[in-house]
Amino acid sequence: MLNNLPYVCPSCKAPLQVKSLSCSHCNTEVTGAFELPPLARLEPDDRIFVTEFVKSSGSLKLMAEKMKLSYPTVRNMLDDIIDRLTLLEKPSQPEPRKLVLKSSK
Amino acid sequence: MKTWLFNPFKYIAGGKALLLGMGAVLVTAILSMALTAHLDGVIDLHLGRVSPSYMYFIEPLVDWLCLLLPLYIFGKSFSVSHVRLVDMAGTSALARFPMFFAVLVSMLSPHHIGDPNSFIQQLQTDPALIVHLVITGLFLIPFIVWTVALLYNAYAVSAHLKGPKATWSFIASLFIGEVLSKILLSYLN
Repeated sequence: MLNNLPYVCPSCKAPLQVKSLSCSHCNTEVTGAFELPPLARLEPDDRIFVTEFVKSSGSLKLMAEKMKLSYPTVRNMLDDIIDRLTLLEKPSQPEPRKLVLKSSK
Repeated sequence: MKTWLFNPFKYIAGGKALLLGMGAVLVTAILSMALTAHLDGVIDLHLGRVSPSYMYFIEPLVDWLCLLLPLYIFGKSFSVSHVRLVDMAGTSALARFPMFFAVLVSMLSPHHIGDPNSFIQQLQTDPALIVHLVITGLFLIPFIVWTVALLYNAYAVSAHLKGPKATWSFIASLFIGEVLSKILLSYLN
């Protein structure tokens, strides 16, 4: 069973990078710092939706038939994915840790 | 089940919803004619006769169109998504189906008893009739609330709007629709 690809740091929620890639055929390993493409950083359900959408030649009508949902519902799902992709494409910074300084009087 | 009751538009919209909605409007109009209750406003139900008889059919159509107009205009103005008229028309028509049950409940009203022309006079002399009428009104409230909830979801799904923007534009649409329908129906009557 393949694990779901983690794409955010469980500690600080910053996007994770790929550090090494290996060939399962000859065991060659490539190391470096590779950024995951925005599509790979989508939630698994969103990735399935995008895959099915491409396979349906980009037809929302066909998608609605396949998913047994109404046309506007499927269009709204696509709009939400577009919003998430737009956010993922923006260069993100890890959330700064808040320091609480207490003054002792 | 909850989705089917309050947001069937997740599964049905467009032409199919329009066809079903128009069917529901027609059946409701026939029932309202039989039970002398009429739908003279976007979310109104009044007891009593309306003449000429074709007004029983014209009223729900006017109600639907008067609400559709502001919903579509607000949807187009506030949504960044592509809003289709057929979705807004279909879902807002289908959202009116609980009015069938509201008309059915109006059967409990005392205005069917005796001569309808003297009903107002009977009300003034018989307090029990007033209590009867109020109880009928209380039974009607859940169906009106159900219709409003469905209309809101029809708007939210068709225009892909959420949060305060959806709520406030929907309330404004209801208000505009109500005023428009009252003006138009008084003109048609």
